[in-house]
Amino acid sequence: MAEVRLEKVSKRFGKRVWAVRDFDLRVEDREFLVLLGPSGCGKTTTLRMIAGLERPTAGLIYIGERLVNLIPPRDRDISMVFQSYAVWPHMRVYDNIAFGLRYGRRKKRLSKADIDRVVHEVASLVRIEELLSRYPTQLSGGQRQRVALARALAVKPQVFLYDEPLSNLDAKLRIQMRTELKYIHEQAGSTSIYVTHDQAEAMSMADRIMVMREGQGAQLGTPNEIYFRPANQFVAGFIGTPPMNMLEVELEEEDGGIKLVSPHFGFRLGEKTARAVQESGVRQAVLGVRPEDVTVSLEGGDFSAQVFVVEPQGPQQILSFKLDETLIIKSLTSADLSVSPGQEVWLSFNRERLHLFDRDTGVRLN
Amino acid sequence: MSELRLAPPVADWRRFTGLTLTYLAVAGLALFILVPVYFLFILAFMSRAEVYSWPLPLFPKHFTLDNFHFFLTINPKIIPSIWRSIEVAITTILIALSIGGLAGYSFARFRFRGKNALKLSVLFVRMYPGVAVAIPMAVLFMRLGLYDTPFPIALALNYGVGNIGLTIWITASIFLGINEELEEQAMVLGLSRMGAFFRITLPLAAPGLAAAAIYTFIGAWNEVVIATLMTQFNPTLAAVTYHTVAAAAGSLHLQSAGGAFMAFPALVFTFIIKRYIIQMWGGVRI
Repeated sequence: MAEVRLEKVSKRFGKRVWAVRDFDLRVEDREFLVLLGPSGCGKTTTLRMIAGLERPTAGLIYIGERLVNLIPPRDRDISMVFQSYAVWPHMRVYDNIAFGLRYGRRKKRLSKADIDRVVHEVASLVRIEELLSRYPTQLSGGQRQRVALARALAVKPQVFLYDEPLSNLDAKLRIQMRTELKYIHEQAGSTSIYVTHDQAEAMSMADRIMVMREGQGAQLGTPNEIYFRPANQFVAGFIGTPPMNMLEVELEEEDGGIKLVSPHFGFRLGEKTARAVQESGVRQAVLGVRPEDVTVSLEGGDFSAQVFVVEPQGPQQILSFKLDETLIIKSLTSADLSVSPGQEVWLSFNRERLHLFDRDTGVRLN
Repeated sequence: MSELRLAPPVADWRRFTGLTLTYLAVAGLALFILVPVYFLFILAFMSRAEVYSWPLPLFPKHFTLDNFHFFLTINPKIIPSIWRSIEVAITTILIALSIGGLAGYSFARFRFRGKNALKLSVLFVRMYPGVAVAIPMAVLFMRLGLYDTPFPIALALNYGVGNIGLTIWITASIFLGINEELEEQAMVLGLSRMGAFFRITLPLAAPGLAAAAIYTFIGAWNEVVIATLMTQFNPTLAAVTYHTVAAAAGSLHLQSAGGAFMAFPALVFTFIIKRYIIQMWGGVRI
């Protein structure tokens, strides 16, 4: 099949607006790669350049071994699923799905019987066989989504491109479709590139995630790498719900080690972290702690704080603590711990999972 | 619902008065337009005696087609002129829609230098009355040997060019209403941009384009002034009707027959496009 490679790809709109700038990416063959980022980060533009719907201002795009910069979309051996589904309203579901087989230039002409076989095959894969003779206006959003998917599958492309395909579905259907999409990806054995701003979607589906920010790659890694070792403060803050607690701290040398000091608490860093900090020479840092790494105890801990708000979430609860006028930190704990607003409790941070970032550049230190 | 019923009676009265005034105004406007049309049509089917009787009956007692027969036979140019009017209208549509439609598509889909200035400038052709340039235009067409030809190319060019600007705006608004992703999907699955335009966009735009075409048709069908100036031996129906009706002064029944004959196709077309007018103008924002 095919890998997809982007080398120093840039896209400028008008004279000044760089949607994507010097973007490098290598998507492995059969990989499910997610482009994740806030709106306006250039992820959709990147996808559209891979599809050939936008022309890069600079840089090279390869699909397989082929440089595709000048190749029109129809000859790139790709399929795309759009956010709006783009199901043609003037054609029956059957004709929608058969379209790529009839007009596609990539494969040799198929006989009517062959087209019929493929249409039924993909329709049964996405479970819309009974809808084939309907018009799209008679379908629900979820069903249209399946039609778009079947149509993309029918041409058996080397690369699947998804542009926020689930964002118009209701929450329940979205979670169901995630599972199906991942299954379909494995069945099809193609490379998939998937654009979304929904981190839960990215985490659950991706082999690797490319987090984008302002037209550039912020971090490329497996979902676990992105979550547990974010490369910078942006990725750390973007991934995770509720978001990571960020606290400004000073790093001070002490007895050959490093002490972390804040107005509210202070403790010595572990040896490995301390060494990394010493090498970097950074003394002004931001400490990131995920809410689930903030332990709440009634007996003792790093420092004490008053419970501000309690938000129950079923088996878990989110506790907020107001450290000063502008600083609120959150903890995700088991719902078994019963506390009430105003109560004084002890907090401690999980030392194994501290994230330290340079306060100026946002780059990870440890 | 119950809260609404509890509203004080004053508000009810105010609403009632407001609605009544609105309906009265609408009814007045409708009468203003419909009464002359109604009389035009009933007079056309009355005999001369009945037309000039008093009080005028509100419906023809002796329904007759004589007036139409007279109107269609009094001037030998009339029958050929009907055909010629259809030729003019269809050629006008072809010119306006092929050029204006493609330009409208470009305005709807592409970004290019000078787009704003251009889309305004296409309306310049509408900013002066056609009569003002009719004479120079007639001279020009005479020199080109296209003046008063049996196939009314000069008139079609004149109307067609005059309609391009408006057609651009109408069609651009239609194309804007069609999601671009529908085309892009077709391009990904095997078509060129042209192919996507013909297979996807055009079928979806068809009702709106048809409405735009009929709008153009009515304009070309009804135009009198330029048609009179630019033709002599090969007039259009509008020009012939104008001359015949003017010559029949004092014969109200004959004039009505001419007017009704002229107005009927336009009326029918207007009722056909009624449904599409929203689509035609619904998305105006180019």
